[in-house]
Amino acid sequence: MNLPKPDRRAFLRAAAASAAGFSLLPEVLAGGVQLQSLPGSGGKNLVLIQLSGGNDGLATVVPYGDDQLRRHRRSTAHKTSDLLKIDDYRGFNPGLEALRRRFDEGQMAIVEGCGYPEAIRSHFKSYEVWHTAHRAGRISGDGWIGRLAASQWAEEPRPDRVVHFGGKAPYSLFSREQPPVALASPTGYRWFGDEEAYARGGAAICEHEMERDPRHVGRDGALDRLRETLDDARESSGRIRRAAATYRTGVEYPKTRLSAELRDVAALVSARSGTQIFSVTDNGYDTHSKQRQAHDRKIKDLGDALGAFMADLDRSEVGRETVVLVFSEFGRRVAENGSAGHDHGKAGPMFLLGHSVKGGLYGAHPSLTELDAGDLAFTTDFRSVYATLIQGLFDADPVAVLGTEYPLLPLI
Amino acid sequence: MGASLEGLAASGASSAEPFVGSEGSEGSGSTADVGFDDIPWDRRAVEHVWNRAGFGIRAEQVDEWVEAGPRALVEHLVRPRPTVGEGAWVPHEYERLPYSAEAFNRASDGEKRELRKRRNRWYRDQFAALREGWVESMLAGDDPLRDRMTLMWHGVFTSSLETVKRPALMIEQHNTIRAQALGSYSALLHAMLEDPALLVYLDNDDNRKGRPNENLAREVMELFSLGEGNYGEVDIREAARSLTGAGVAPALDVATYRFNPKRHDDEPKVILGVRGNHGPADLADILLGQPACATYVARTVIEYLEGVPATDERVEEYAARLRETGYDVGYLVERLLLDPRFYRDEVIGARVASPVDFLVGSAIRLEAELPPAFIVEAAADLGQDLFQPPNVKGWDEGLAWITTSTFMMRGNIAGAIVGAVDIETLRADASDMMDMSGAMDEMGPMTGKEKRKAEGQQVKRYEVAGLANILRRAKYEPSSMEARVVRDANASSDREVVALLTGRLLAIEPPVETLQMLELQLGQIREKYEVEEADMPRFRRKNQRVFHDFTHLVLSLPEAQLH
Repeated sequence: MNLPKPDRRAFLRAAAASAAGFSLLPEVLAGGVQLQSLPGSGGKNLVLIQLSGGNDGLATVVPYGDDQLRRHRRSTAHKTSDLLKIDDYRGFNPGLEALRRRFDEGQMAIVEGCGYPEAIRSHFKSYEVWHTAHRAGRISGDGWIGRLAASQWAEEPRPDRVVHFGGKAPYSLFSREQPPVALASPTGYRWFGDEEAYARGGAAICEHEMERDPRHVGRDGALDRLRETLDDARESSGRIRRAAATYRTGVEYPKTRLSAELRDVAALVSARSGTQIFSVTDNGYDTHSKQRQAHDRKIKDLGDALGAFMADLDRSEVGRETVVLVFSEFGRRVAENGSAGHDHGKAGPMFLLGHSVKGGLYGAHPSLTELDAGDLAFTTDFRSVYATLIQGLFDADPVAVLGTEYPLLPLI
Repeated sequence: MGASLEGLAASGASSAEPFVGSEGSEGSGSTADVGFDDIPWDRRAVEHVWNRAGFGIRAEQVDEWVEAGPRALVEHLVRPRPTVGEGAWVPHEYERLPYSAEAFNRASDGEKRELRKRRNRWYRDQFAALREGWVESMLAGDDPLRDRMTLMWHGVFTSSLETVKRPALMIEQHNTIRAQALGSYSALLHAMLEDPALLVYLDNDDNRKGRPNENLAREVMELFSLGEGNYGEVDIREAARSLTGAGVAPALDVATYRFNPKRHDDEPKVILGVRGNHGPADLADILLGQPACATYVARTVIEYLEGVPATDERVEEYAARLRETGYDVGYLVERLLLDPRFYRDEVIGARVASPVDFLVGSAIRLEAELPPAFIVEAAADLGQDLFQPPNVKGWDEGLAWITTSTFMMRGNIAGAIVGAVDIETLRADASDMMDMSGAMDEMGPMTGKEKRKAEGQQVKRYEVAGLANILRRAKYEPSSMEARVVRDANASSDREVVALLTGRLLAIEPPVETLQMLELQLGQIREKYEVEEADMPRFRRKNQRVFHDFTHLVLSLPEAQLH
């Protein structure tokens, strides 16, 4: 609650507190901001795609070469002939045509068997581990992206450095110092009214008159945080709206929510407006019953959306430098349950896409024979992927961000 | 349900620490029983109770409760209503589909298609009636504490229409929760393990002997009773076995609880160290017998109502009361509302209003006659979609409600409520956006009609547009409360008007720096509409515009997001 305010806020408040302050306000407050191309300050762009609910890795990249698969999955396994073969052991889910192309072109890395020790099968607790990169979860502090942002961009604070599309941001982006922007639709991302007056709402901190108004502990702590949020909203609104409104692309996206959000990501990437980490969430992977149909549809939508998005990113240099990370909070149980579905499991694959990714297979496919209480045992700690991105994309120190050293993977 | 409200009143009277009637701290045995004489009872405290235990109070009703005192107010809030119990008042009585399963089965394929369409419309209307009926009840404030606690439990024992599909089940679940919201948690937990909506939502209908589905077993321990860390993976597997066979019997548009012995695993199980041939009710009893259970429930209730983390000591004090009273939640809430610590500085004004709190509270304070459908949709846009929580954990309370986006959206919704943001405002913005994007040039010269159409499509992308349309269709008129209050008080300076209206509009006392900023803004708004300071008490159209713009700003401020 008592964090020192970054200079930007101090400036805004000082400006807004004086009656003639508005002439001093930066142009961004008047809504007429010019898009400026920022040099990639300390790194490339990263797009995080979270598959919420626990994606079944075994139905995404299918180890059809293992006889055990069919034994465990009488009704949920794919026919071998339907799969898009990678080698004589594994094949992509039939819906992942677009990803197979990227893989063949060497622009997709598959890190198999990602997980962490003493895995938790609760969605929420497992998210906490993935989001904070700590077994203790939220108690350990901010999200891993939040910590990265705080360490990376403390000198150049910018509220839209980290942007989540589609409602509430996942905890991975959470940071007390560098909170993310989270928005539903970029064009409607503004406050309709006299925006100068609104700006003062976030800036209403001036000389406090102790004798007129004794400090009020609970209220003032909460107010501080809310005012910062208002400041951030005001500052980022103009930039983001303009980027979305002016975006033109020849790429046709499928008509799904995920695709619409990825198109907005592409708009902001291409605008080079200073956002460097983008996040979207795709729900519906919690396939406890009748998995085949539901999961195949999800995976096809995912593959098609990613296909369009990657094609769109191909069009610009900044796009080609962007890396996409796809992950889920856990995999699913190897054996199917009584409802032709799969209960919560443990390890699963992570995907990385982009021109700067060294494509191929990483880690090791977990055994389908030596199970960990019915689940795939992890072979690569997911934090190795984080560490690799932190160093490879942002040239930052993974140990400083993650708190522990994890082996790096040669995939960037 | 055995323990109805009458049961609650009885338990309050017969429990180990009788409390209504034991006024003051003197003569009270335990140090925890600090009397309500220690509550700083004033207007602020009265509003605090109504904000937390209800959804807000109109300014002119505050004084009577200051006069009446804390005990009278809390008795009023927990008192059994004649509308509850047998023939209980509920937000909406489900109406069955107007055709039978037989009629549907006899129908031709084409007719079936028509019947399905009809069913979908029927479901939509029934669901809307439920949601709007509940919001109407919150607005009316006839049983505010019950509505408040029902909302809390809805976020604990979550189910979502998206998964459950049949609104009849959501309505039944709501009524079950409503009946026990201030009753017995023990009865509630037992009832929920037989609740058709919950059983469908967490896949227990598919949980059968030899092929267990662990979904319900896990969530009942993690989220409904014990909290993470108070059970092991083995307990979940065993609990899942105890829940096998507990499912539903669907009949067209409704479904009832059905326990299928053939699907039930009747072999011995060991759950949390207790061995036996457990079934669903045994599981509930085992959970209720765990020390962690009362702790979890007490913490859930205290932190929900206070809005700040509770210390372990405090939670344990309340957990002990729960255990002594056999999980009497009404008694726990009653004690909490009369606990001086509920009124400490860290608590008052420090809770971030949820979307429902913000909307219903603003409507009450502003005296705005908002259509309930507006509040339902606006809350959904802000992240609180009633009966469709984001996941089984329900909603995260507190600052999690506020993002840069929902923050601005709250302000836009306030703008719609006072008429400052409407479809024309949005069209103008869309027009600017299109000019900025150069869309006009690409498409060549447009006729006026074409331009209107293109703007209309752009406007549809704005979340607030749908809300503005609801108000337009309902022929909604913004409240004139502000102008009336200013006239009645004959407030003729910016300072007086700011003090008057922020007192009316906000649930908390704003700091002085905010009042100063608002005085400056009110002056600017007056200039825009050419209203002199001294003319503010006059009741006329342009004065109302001034006050509406002012209210729009006030309700968009950080101060308006707290209660």
